[in-house]
Amino acid sequence: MAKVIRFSFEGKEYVLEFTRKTVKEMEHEGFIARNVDDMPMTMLPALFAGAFKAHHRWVKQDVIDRIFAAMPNKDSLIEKLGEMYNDPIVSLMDEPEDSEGNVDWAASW
Amino acid sequence: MVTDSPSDEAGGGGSGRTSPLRYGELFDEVCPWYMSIGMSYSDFWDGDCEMAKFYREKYEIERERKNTELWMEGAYIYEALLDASPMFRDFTKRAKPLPYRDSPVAITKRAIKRKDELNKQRMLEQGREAMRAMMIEFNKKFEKKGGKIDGD
Repeated sequence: MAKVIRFSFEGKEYVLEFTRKTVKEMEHEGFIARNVDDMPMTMLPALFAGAFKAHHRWVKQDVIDRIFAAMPNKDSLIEKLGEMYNDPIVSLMDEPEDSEGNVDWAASW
Repeated sequence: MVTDSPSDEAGGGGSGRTSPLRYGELFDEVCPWYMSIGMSYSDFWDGDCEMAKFYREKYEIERERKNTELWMEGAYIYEALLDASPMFRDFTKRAKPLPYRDSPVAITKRAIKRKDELNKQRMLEQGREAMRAMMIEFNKKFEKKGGKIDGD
């Protein structure tokens, strides 16, 4: 099962998840995972908002902002969101076999 | 890695920054491969991302199964050739081929168990036949020596 975050806000159940499509959409909208460290104030809310796209696409931004503001343990939340965001790519890179479906990758630093 | 950033399109401004890794491009690259192993487009893009692992596992199992099937096919052909080979020997009159195997090679637990049972049954039958033949032979010898068999 994919990594998800579940919670209830104002009587409504929410499931946050990233799919390959939502990750790609976020990138098209300008989200760059690498910039989270450089610009946390803009990137972290964007990461949080992106997690709504899979199951709650039509939730308004102001509701998402209120939910984000109400979220406790933000450090842990961000860490979990980061793991979730990486999940769609990590699931394509599983070892051990040199399967044709594996993604080749190289670090640039 | 290709990006949409203007500096890249313009040939770069010499900033020295490397282009960010874009997951979307990697997804685009591998999507056709996943579709080729049976994963649907919507499963790949909208489904549980962990599904990809299971599709890969499924693909590995299918490859192994196919490989075994091909190996078995070769083994059957090889065996059939050996069985038929007496027919192809020169200078051999009335060469008879060996019969082709009466059942497929047992590969599942159930088939192996069934085959074991059949073999045991066959061995019992053969033992019984051998005993009967021995009895007949013994009786014949006994009769020759002037003995009398009960029931005659």
